[in-house]
Amino acid sequence: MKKQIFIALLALGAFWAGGIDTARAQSQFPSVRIENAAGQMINTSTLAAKRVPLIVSFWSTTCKPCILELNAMNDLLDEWREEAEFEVIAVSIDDARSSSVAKALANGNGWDRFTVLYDKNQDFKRALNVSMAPHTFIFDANGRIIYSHVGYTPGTEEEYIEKIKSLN
Amino acid sequence: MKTALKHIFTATAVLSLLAAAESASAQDQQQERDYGRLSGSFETNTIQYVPDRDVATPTDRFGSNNYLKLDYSIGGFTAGAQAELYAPVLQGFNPNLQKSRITNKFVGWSDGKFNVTVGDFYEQFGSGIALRSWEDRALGFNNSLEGVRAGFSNDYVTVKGVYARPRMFMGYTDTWVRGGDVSLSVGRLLGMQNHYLALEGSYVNRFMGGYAADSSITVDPGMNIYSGRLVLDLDFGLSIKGEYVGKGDDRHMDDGQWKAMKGNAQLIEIGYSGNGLGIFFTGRRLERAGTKIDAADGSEANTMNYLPSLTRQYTYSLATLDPYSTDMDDEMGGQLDVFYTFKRGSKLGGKYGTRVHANVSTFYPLEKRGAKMYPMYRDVSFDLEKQWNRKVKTTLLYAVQTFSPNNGVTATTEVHNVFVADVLYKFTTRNSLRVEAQYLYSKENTDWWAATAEFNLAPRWSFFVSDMYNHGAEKVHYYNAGVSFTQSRTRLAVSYGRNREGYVCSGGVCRLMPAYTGANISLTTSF
Repeated sequence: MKKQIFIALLALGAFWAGGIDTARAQSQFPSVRIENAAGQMINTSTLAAKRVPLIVSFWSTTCKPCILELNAMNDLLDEWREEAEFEVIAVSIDDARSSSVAKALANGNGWDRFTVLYDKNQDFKRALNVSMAPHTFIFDANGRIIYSHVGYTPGTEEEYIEKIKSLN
Repeated sequence: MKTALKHIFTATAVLSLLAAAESASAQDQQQERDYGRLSGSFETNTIQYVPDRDVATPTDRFGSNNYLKLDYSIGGFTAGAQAELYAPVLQGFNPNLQKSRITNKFVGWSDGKFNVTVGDFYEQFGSGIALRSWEDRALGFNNSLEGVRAGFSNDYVTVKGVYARPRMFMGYTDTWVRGGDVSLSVGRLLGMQNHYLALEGSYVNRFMGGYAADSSITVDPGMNIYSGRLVLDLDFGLSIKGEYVGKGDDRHMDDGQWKAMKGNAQLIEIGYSGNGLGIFFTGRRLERAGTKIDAADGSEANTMNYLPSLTRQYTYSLATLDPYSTDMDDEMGGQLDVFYTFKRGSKLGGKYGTRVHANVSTFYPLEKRGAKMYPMYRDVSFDLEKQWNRKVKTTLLYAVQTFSPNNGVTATTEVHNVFVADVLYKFTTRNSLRVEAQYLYSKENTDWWAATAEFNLAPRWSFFVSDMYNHGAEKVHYYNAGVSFTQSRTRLAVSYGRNREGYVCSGGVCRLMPAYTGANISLTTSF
């Protein structure tokens, strides 16, 4: 019994110490598969390829503060765009049951200037270690996380635009 | 074997911690080697109960629910564990949640196409009518599966299989679940470019060990569930999903007697979206569709599938006084949501646009229960959200909720008319005041009012005071006041007040939370 554990430990240790000798990429933007608004699977790394700062916000249909946050950003987007260049990515973490409601909600709320993605299997959510919504990240043009925030109180969106402006 | 697994998990956890420490120092040395990534979260919800002669005082003076989750990943390999501590469990939660344990642990591997998980995992087949394991901490619910899961996925097909036993409270039941799920992208196989069409199916077998000891009725302990589904997404914004679920003989209470009876369920979802308009309809029919994990347990934790009440989920207190709960045995109904945004610059849209939303939901028994067919529940609501300028935003909501006190036996109904006005005023870009005024008018019951004022210093501080009061019978003020502080990924909230008895529901699982007065501390953090 003890022998088994020892072997298991050794195996794990070897696996871990041997590591994979890949250089740590500069970008912290995950590379996972996710569904876009057209129902096609895309790789999230294509989003960072544009090389502009990104606001990535995780939301769900049953999360009221998430919807308030995205609506607040949507209302101010025109004014913000005059001040800085960036993109907003709204990631729905609704499961397969309510992802269609999420589509109706995103369209009905007029989020057509956001890139809305549907993380039905929650791969993107897990890759960024999101445990509760709303959870918003700001990535710089090189895909590095420069800011992250959990929860939403009205006015938090001002913090986002300031961080974005500090990049330009 | 079980202890061996346990030790392997412990070893993995220790290694993960070591790796994290290494990884931190590695960053200093700017090493290029990948040591993987440790992440986790911690959540506590703790209440100090205070005696109050206007509401019943709980027997325990203190309750605390705590969750610690750690995950480690390197390449395609992941391992994780969740520890839970109930010291003791909060009032109203199931008392079988007690002491502390590493409740969930798993190791997994995936190369993008193949994946395998050993240990505890969450799984869902289709919409969850056939099988769903999930966690809801607000409800103290967790029916995760412990066992093996393996899957394969490419552009055309996704296949997965599970062999596991469901968790109940702090341990596992004597029930084993075996099943498989296939999704075939027929549209891609046929070369469709702009539309998506998939055919899907599931099979689940539940082997209930507890049945053998039950002599009151002879039912095959191995019960089969199957599901067939169609998923269609057309490029002009229309989507349609349909599901049929059939269940084999299961033990069922009928006319006060245990009988072996079959069950079934149907679900249809139709959605359209485009041009600022979103419409979504869900219809569902349930006939003995609830599936239990255990033969004996009578609590809400004994649930193996997902049958949420298809009604609007409100965030305003007076609109959630009496939520509808699913009748898993005998129900048909549905709900319709319409979202629309009047565009910026249009007459009704103004400078910022105007958002409107309507929801209708209604539920009936499968056959008439009285002289005629009467509804068990109906809810019609409408809300309007408008940003007037950079300072002022208003939301108005009106809802009419109609309940049948005897679940559709007679035409008698009770009606709640709920009015809500919610105004947000920004003093500066970061300092704002939100005021919420609610009124509930009911001919059959006495009226309620409620009010909340919330002052925000974004992004860190938020303060609130609220009160809820019934004019007639109760005449009790349900007051509350609190503060929350958020720093990056950590949120601390402290509140004090009197809370009304009420139902908390998730996935068709509802729990009655008792009234209490006390101080509540909640902390969540992730890293």
